[in-house]
Amino acid sequence: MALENLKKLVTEGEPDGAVEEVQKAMNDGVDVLTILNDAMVPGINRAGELWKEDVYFLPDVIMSAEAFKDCMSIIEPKLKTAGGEKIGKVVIGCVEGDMHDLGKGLVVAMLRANGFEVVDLGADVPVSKFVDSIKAENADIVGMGAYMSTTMTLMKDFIETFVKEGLRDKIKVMVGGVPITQKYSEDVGADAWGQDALDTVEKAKKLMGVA
Amino acid sequence: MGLIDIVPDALNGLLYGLGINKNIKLEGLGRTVASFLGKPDYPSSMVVGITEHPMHIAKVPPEVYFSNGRVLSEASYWVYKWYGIDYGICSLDIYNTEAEALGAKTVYGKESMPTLDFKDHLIKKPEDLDKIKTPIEADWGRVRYKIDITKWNGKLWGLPLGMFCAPFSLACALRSYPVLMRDMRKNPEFTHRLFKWIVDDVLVPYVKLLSKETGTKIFLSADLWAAFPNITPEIAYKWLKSYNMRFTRACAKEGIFAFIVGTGFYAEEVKERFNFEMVKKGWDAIVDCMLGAKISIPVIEYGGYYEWPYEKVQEYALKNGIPIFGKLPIARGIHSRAMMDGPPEKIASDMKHAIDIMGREGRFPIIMWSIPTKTPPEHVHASSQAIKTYGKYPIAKDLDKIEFKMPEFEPFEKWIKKQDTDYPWW
Repeated sequence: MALENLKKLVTEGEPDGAVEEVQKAMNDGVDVLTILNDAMVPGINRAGELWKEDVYFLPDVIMSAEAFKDCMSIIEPKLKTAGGEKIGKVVIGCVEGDMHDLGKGLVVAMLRANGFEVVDLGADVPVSKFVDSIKAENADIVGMGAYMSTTMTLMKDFIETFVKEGLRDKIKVMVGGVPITQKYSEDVGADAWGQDALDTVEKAKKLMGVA
Repeated sequence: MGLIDIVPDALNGLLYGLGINKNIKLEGLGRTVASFLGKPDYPSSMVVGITEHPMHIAKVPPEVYFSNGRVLSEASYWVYKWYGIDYGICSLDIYNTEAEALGAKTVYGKESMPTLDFKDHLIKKPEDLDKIKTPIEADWGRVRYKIDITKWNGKLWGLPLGMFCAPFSLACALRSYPVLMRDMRKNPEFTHRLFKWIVDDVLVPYVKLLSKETGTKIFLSADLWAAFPNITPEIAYKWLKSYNMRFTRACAKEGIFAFIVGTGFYAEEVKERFNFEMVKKGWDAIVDCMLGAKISIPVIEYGGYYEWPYEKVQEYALKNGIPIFGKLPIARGIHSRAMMDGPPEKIASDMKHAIDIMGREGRFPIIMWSIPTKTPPEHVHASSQAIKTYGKYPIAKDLDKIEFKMPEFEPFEKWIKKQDTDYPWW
């Protein structure tokens, strides 16, 4: 019942109530993987379904993602020790000069909710940081976001750097953000374009061969 | 100086558009005004939006473009003239200037437009609101740069038009969009205090300052944070309508005409999620949130990265028209991504279809939204050429019989040397 309530609170985007429910469940001895898989993930995925069905608007999805994120911050330290199967590891960030990370935040939440381990490099990320992180994390996918038509042009340069660093064959590249299109994604040599958070999850799964 | 004294082109457009004098040779702004009102020789094209494309074409160093109002204005004006575009609203950084002036942290990239640091918002806690100094002064942040842009735009285009960030978008800039969403739900009392402060203490005095410095009485704001699906219809009516109207009425008392553009736009980027009922709700909200009265406001087809159902747009414009003018004007948008992707043949073909369905009765200006920085010039030239080819009034019965020729154009560097300007301007 508590988990059912937690799922509802995540779907409805009630971060404070959701965090309380997580703490209550942990105090009751429910393991973190159960909290994640039986309540938090179905909760945020339900918000995604309601978005797809045109019932939810962006504020509703954002609030749901906020609730999910706040709950994750509580269970994450214990989750690392609890283990659990991961589909793949994603290193993600907004390219240098771009501070717009609202969409990326949604993508991170949805990827985590769908079984990916995500290393979020934040916004305004230089190529050297992407390269270091890809190497250090042994990532499967690198995701780059850009919101401005000036910063999006860096994606091509970044991918060329991945080639020079000998990383391109080892990693799948995804790009996303308001000005990005399928054609642009192909032009810069990415493997996939994430049109929105849900689309990104589906394509990331495909890239990992699990969809 | 009265409004009519400073905008003779607009007056010509008015006379032509209303059918009072059809012998006027339309130029630039005149064609734009005539396009909103009736049938000019062919529909006008305007660029509306934040754009760094002129910087790229005119090869202006970014550090100059992002700091020198004259250079930004000259580059925009001449690049758009090179394309044959009638009018440009050439402002940069509409969303960030006020927030930066109030103290919000801003990041200056090497080649990109300065942008707010969205991880470090100025109003982190409600009590932070009381610590912010107002009103904004001319030497704060990049306000002087913005004043220069307004002055130069007026000089070049014939209409000094001031730009500012709308109340809701400024609230997002200062508080962040997700936190503002939470405030609306959890702390409405603070949210009302925030909006009142934004309108009364920040924006009204700011617009008065810009008006005093530039002499302009006409202002346009951007509010794409308040586009659907970023907001719900409930948010539009509960939060935006009253504060937009509070702002426009306060400006009107000062003799300033301020228009808020973007509130209620339908900006869904994913074709599969397109919902025409929401588009109509958005148009209703635009009218309600701007003026609170049904008048002849243009229907704006934002131009998603896919074709809208033009027949339905046309039907709405005809149904909601007013007796003297007939249909509502339809401003046909060309989406930035469509412009960037091309190819030119597709841009021309889309324009033909749009004119065929929505342009025949006139009142059909074309709006090119922000042209992405590295858009191939042939895409924009093709767009302008298609307007002139297919949009010549009276519109031909069968547009498929009209041959479209890709325009030939001189490189900008060669063309600009023949113009009456001292390029390079820096």
